[in-house]
Amino acid sequence: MNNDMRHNRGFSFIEILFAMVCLGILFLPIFKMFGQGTTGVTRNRNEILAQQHASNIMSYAFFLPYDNEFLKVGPPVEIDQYEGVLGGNRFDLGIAETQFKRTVAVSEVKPPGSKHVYKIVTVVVRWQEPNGLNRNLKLAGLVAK
Amino acid sequence: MATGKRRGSVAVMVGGIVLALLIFFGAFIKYSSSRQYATRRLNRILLAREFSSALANLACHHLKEKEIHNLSGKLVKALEKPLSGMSGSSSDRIVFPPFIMQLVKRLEAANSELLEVSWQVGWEVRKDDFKPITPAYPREKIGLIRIPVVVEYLAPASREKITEEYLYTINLKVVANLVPVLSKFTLYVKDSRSGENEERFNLAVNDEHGKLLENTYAPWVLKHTADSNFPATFADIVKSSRGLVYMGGGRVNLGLARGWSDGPYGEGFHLLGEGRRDGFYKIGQLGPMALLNCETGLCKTDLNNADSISWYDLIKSGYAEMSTKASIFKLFGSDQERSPTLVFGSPVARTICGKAYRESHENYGPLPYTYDDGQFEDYKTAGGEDFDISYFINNYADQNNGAVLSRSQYNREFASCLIEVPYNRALGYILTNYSTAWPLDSGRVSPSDPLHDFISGRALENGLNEKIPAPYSGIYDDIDNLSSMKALLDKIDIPGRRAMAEIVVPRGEKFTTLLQKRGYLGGDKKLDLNGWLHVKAPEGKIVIDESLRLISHGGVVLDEGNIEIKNSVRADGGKFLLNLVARRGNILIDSSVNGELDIGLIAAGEGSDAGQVKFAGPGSSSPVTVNGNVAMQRIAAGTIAGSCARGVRIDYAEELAALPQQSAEAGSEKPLLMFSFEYPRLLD
Repeated sequence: MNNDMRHNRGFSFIEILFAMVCLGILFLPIFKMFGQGTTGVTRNRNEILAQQHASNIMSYAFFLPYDNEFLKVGPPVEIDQYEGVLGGNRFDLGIAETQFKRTVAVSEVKPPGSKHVYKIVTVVVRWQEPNGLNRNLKLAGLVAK
Repeated sequence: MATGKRRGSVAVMVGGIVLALLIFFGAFIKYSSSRQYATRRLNRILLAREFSSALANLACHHLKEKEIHNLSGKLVKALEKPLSGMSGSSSDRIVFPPFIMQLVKRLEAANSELLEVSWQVGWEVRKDDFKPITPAYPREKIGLIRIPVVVEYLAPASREKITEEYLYTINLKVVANLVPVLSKFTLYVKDSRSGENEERFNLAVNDEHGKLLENTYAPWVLKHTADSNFPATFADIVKSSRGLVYMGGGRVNLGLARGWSDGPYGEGFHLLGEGRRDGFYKIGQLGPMALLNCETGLCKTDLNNADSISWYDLIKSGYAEMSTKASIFKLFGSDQERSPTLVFGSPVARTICGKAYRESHENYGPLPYTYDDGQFEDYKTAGGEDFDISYFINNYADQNNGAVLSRSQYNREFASCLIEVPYNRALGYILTNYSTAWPLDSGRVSPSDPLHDFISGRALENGLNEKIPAPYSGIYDDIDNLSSMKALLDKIDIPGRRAMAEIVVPRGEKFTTLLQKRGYLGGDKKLDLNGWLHVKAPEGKIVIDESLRLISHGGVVLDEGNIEIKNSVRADGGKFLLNLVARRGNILIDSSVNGELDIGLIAAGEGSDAGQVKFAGPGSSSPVTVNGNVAMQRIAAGTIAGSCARGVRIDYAEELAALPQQSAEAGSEKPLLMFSFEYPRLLD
């Protein structure tokens, strides 16, 4: 019995050490790939947040009077923190996440044959991914007088 | 047992773990990629949705500004039908004009992440999307237009085409530019007396041809239709496209101007023989003598003019002053432009009635009014200074067993005088082409027809002259009296389902400026209301002081206050009309306004300074023409000089006579339809 046990012993220390080294070597790229997957999730989250920030501004712009200061024609204006006012109600249009920067550009179009005047509102949200990659999202809409 | 035997291998375990990890990792990567794709896809959807919203807005503007103005276009054809006659669905693709396409290109560029974007916009009208507003006018309805928008673009990081379909809806009202019942009248005055006497409108001074001799007061001349045929039944008159007249509030005597020739304001055509020279007709018999009447209009007498003094001599002793002035209201137009219609209310027409007797070629003569006994005695004497009625007096005695005819009885029963006849009596002569002195005996008008009562004057005793005529009487079950102006205005559903929008004119802001801000008025002063606007003006008035060009029908109902018109309002490129309603106020047309106005004017309200349509300016001003109609609650006491003296021509807009419950196109409210759009909404 003792003899059997001696002959049927588990892994030797050398074997375990070898196995751990092998696993370690194999896990390195796998964990790295996991890390990349996590980065992808973060990027998704950032993109969704960026869409939300752009959409908020666009929705706000639609409800404003055409001549509102917010819709003043001009080059892109950075809007990080903003308190919107609609019908006397105030609400926060700011960005909680510091990595996002948001600009709004308004241009006016007066089609010669139309009695309407239009403004093209372009919202650009910029942010930097954890890996240093600069990204942006652009959303354009139309506001009519 | 074999020695050195292994139960497992390190390589197998390591391989297993690695394999499991790889499988897990593969799944994770797949999940992560899907998330990433979904996020990008979501981003594109957001962009596409924003883009579709812009397209829907442009489509809405295009429909409002272009398609709906194309009266022969598919959209108008689909919307103008009565609700019951609408097809299940009607649709078309929207093709934007080049200047809008340029804008769309800029939008495409701004949404550059939508790769290789293409799109399509259309409209669809479905019968099921509409419901009626009022049963009286079956084309009036409320509903929506569907705007399907299809946007196609490349999927993220792929050549796959993605098609997004969005459905927007635009709320729409189709209403007629009329005020039920009131719009049927060329001229409607609820209270034409306002406590003054029945002579109040006899202020125009004209010669025997109807030409004005004084310009203190110029006439209001009405034209009810362009149709020269006058129907011979009450129903046909009412159902025709002519405007009617209502002058309520009690009897008013309207002097008819003499029309010895077709003068500008003569009204001889009201009378037998067109009121010219020999229009004698027999009214009775006294023994062998026929008693004759001859009527002619009123004029200021020029004693040096034989035509002028004709007939005047017969009544000058009693009615000289009353015979010099005619009414400022020419309700049937003038000799030059005759426009008969039915007149409701209680106006009567006043004329000179010259009387005479005739027994034979030798024995005949006039019967003048006698001022006093001396004059009567003189006339009774053979060879009297001015007149000789001795033959008539002797004959009277012969026929009455030697009875002596007193002056008072003579004046009352036989002498020439001024008479007042039913205003509609003229219709009998017109219908028989002046061929008979007794038109009602000719059979031209059936005795059972209400027109018979209007011509004979029995409409008053039968109460017909105050009743809303059929089919207009069926519009409201609970209103049947023509004088119910307030009730009629309360029923117009503005504010309510027939109103397009409500605007409040801020203090200090011009009405026209506000219209411009709201997009109804263009910089080129083209007014495109296309609906009923309900207006509140805290300042107590709205002023139209810019020259407006109507490119669609429109209506303005001012809740409280006056509407002042200080510039022209003309249709531009169609028979459009601006209906102005002051519910509690006056409508003032400034003396500076000249020429034509394409407007309907309705003023109502209690109190002496409300409910009046006032035309400022003296009779010497050039007359203004209203191509529409005028309805007012009153012509207030003491205001005629300031508000009626200026000559006005009211040329009835026949479209306003739209028949209720008219499914067929002819005579319906179709030409008056207005189409008001709201803004597009995405149907989620």
